[in-house]
Amino acid sequence: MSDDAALVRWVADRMEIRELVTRYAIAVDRKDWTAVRACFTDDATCDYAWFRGDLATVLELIERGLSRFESTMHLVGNHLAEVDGDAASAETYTLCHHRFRAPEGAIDRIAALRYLDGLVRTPQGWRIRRRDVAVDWERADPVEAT
Amino acid sequence: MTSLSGLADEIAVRDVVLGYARAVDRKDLDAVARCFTADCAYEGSLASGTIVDALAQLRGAFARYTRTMHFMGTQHVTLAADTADVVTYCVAFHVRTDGRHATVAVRYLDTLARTPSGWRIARRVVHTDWARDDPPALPA
Repeated sequence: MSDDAALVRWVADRMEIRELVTRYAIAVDRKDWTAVRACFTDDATCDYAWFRGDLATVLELIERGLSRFESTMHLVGNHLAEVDGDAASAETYTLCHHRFRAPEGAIDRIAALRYLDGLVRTPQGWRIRRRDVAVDWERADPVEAT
Repeated sequence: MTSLSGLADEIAVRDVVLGYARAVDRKDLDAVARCFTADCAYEGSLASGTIVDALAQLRGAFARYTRTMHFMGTQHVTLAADTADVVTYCVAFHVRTDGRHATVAVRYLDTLARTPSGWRIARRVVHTDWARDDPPALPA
């Protein structure tokens, strides 16, 4: 591969990996479970800190867990990735806002976390094969009457 | 028109600033130092002088917090041949040892230089836009 071809490949890989982790965040907020699933390889395994397991197990728990919130917002910030041939690792900071209705009023729960992803290049593009979630901090605050 | 090498430079420049956040949040002082030129001018709440002064203060800052998260959003890069000006918005969350959450919103105004070992921050000014301090709130 020429230097230019290698550089094009690297720039494209970085952009595609960034697009993938961003697409995941948008898909979970839209509760588009088909699109969420498409971010992972079939043999993906995940440790979401609160639950872990193979892809089917984790997707079911994500869907069940997020369905109880009125709204969620996965705000994606810092994203770094290292590409090594057909594999890559990425770290993505995300502020996850969850609004839910408690008997005493609405609550905003925020989980600040980092997605630590192992990715692979597939014929369909980059996919997450291993995801670990590192939770940096959490808080839950009552929402004033809206 | 943006060139291929310009695209690659822009990604590499963003990586340095984001790498700073990763290094600070891991409390890895050596990795923080590697983001800067050895004589980087530094102006901010940590120090007024050079990066050496800031690094000396950072060690103490690490001890005050059980965890930090330098969450970066808006980032604007202006590339020249071998320098780049970068504005980065950051909301820095600090979990104090007593559990309180200190939040500081800053703008990093950086000038990076291309060096033989890659892009490095050669000049940094840190502006604090707002700050707050909240009691701990346990997850419901």
